[in-house]
Amino acid sequence: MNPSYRPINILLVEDNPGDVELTEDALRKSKVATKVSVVTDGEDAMDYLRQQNAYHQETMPDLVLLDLNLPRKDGMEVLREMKDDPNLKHIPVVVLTTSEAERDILASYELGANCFISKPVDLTEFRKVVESIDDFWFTIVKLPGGSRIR
Amino acid sequence: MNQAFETLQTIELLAFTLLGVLAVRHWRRRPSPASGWLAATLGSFAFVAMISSFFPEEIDTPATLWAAKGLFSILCLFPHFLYRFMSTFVKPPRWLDRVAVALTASACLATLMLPYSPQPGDPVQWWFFGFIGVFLANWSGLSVVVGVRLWRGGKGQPGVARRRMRTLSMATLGLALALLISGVSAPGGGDPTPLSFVLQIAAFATAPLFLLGFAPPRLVRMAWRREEELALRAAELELMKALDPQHIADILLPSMCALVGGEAAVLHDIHGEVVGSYLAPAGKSPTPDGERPDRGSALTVPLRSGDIVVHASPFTPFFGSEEAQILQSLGVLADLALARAEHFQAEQRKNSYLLILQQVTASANAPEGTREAIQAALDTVCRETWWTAGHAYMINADPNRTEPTQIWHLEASSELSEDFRSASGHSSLVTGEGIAGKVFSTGESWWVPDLKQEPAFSRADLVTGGAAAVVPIKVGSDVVGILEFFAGEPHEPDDEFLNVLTQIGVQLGRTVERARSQEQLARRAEDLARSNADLEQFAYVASHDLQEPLRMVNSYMQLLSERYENQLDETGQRYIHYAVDGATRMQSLVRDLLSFSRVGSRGLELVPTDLNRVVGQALNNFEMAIKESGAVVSSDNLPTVNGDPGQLSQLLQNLIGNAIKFHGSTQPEVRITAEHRPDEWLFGVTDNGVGFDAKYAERVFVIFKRLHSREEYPGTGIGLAICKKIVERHGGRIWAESEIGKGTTIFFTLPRPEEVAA
Repeated sequence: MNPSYRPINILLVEDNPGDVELTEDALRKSKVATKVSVVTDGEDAMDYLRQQNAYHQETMPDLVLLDLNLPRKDGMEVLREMKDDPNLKHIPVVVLTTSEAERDILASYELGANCFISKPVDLTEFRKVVESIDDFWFTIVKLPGGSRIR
Repeated sequence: MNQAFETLQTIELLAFTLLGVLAVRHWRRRPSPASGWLAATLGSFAFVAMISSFFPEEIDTPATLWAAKGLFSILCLFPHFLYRFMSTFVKPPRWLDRVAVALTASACLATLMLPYSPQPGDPVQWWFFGFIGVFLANWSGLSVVVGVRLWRGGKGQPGVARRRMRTLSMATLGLALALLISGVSAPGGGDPTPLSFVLQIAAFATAPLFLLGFAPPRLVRMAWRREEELALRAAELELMKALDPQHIADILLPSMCALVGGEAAVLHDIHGEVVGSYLAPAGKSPTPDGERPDRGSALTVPLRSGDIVVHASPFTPFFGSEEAQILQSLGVLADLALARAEHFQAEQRKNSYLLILQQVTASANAPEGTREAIQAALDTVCRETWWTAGHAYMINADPNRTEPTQIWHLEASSELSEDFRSASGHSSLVTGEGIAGKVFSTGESWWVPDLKQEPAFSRADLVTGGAAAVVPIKVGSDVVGILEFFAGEPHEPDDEFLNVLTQIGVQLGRTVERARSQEQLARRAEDLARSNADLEQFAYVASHDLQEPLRMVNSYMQLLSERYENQLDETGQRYIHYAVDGATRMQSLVRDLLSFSRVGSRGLELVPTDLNRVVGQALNNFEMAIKESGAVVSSDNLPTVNGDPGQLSQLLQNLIGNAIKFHGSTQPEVRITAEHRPDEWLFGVTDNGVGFDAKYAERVFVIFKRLHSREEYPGTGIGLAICKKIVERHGGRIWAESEIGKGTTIFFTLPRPEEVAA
């Protein structure tokens, strides 16, 4: 395993500023250097990923942390569009949401989510979960320079 | 020898005279064309015979000659009188009448024109042969015609009539022959031969035969109808089997006619309506134009339920008291048979009503809908009875208005016009309006004998008339529909039948009632399904949206205590602890609620499940807790049941978990038992823990109900509620027995596999 030295670009799709701050906080404490960009709804997420409109100068994220309950276009639709788009389908998506509903979990995996994580209520737990995303990251990153084989 | 012959002639003279007197007397007593002509025939003959016996031997003066000529021409009239007599029975064609008149007239004329009376020994002149020829043609020709026609008239007639006509025919021929012989032989004189004796006696015998044929006395009539009486015995047997009035008439009327020689008979019912009639097959050409001369008299036999009228045929002698008596005794038989038939028919009608009611009830209780039941009722009634059309109105949205259903039954024989049906199909009746409207408002069935006579019937101009019955379909005392039946013919009210139709209305009312409650049930099921879906949606929302704010509260409280630890005093830290604790508890409540709702919303997958394994797994999960508490858990050998493995596992985990959790100061002991009962398994999970007051035995199964504080025993109070739901979904029961300080047993039952499969 050969970790990349450039920070991982993470796109956080989350409309709750509280959650955004908690996630950023947790990621700051993690072992890997991360650069977190935040969009608050599904439309913006797609624009960001396709580098269009307000986001034409952004770089492609290495990982997407996706909430399901979003204003305008919801998380499921974002996931579906990403996996239908040949340019985006390789980007790993971690569904990070409050939902524990079975139908959400199943639907997410069916649409090609790489991981489904329910946000725990407890802060410590939450931090552990974010750490696990780091681990997850290491398991899917095989080569330096960000080339990935799934 | 001569003297004997003379004596015979004298007796014969006396006999003919007596016969003439009798005939005239008969005519005076029963005047009719027939008796009139017979009196003329026999009277004229007696007159001639009497006068000629006082006649001198020699006819030598002109006076005696003309007297003789006069007498002889009266004798020429004799066959003509017979012919007329015959005409009263069997009307001859007109040409025969003319021939008869011509013959008689020429015979009379020839007699009067005869120049003298031929004496024995005179040379026979040519004209005398001409006279004899005309006389014989008149005499024997007419007699033969009369004899043959009388004979043929009786052909095909019942016994009395036939025998009478034959007797008359034979008498005619015999008498004519006798007169011919005496007429030819007497003037010639000479010695009587044995042959002339025989002829004389034969002629003598025919005379009374004549009268016998015309007015047969009682004994003769009895003898003549012997054959018919035998036939009647057979008919009586047949009568025992007859079960309807028409059949009875068919059997009895021909026998009655045959017995008394009637021509026709009619059976009337109590209202004077003809039930059955019989017309005897007409004799061989009674009249060319079909009209019967001299219509016979009629006898009326009164019955309890009407009467029988027997008409005498022209060939019948007459109806005396003897015939009246015979018919009267047959009337008694008829009465008996009719009463039996009526009884049988009433019984049959009752049976058919019951059958109809049974059929309608069966279809009314069939799982098909109300419309199908109504259709079946209309079909059954119209098919099995004389109602030819049926139609139904229902009350739908507007409770004061009947709506046509377009449910019809029309027999092929129904004469209801298209216009009428279309008018019925478009008329929605208001309470109290028209016949159906009145039935609708009163709730009483109504029989209309004839629609044409019923002013309340609003569609009267569209029907040709006939009976109708209108009955309500009732739910309780509410009229919810109307059935109407129509017939092509008027019918008097039949209470029994109307009652049957009313019962049909009642049956259909039950169908309507059932359909309504089914609708209500379906609506409730729909409501329930909707509320279940709502609940599931709620569970989803609870799992997602309710947890998010909790997480915010919790996480930021934790952040607060982390980051600002130094700036908070002990009280501040305690407050944060309470807030975090509350949020955590709230979250576990939400989670439990969700899992509780999932037990009900998820489909039950029944597979054979070994409960020993389920318990084993549960004990594995509780390994830590068992170690910590030092609990001793033992279990009977448990059966394999049909159940959802996930839910059964949850059930036993909850129960064992509780048993371990609620331990007192002593070492916890948990025992799992199973008992084989006739149709179920009874399980028990017993502990020696803290127990509870028996009065709470039901409350422990209520969601979120707790008997202990959280400080004593943690938990949200959902465990047993979930257990109850799981057991009940599996078709079992669950209950608790407990005593404070002694421990608790939770019992539950599960159906045994064969019961689940069944």
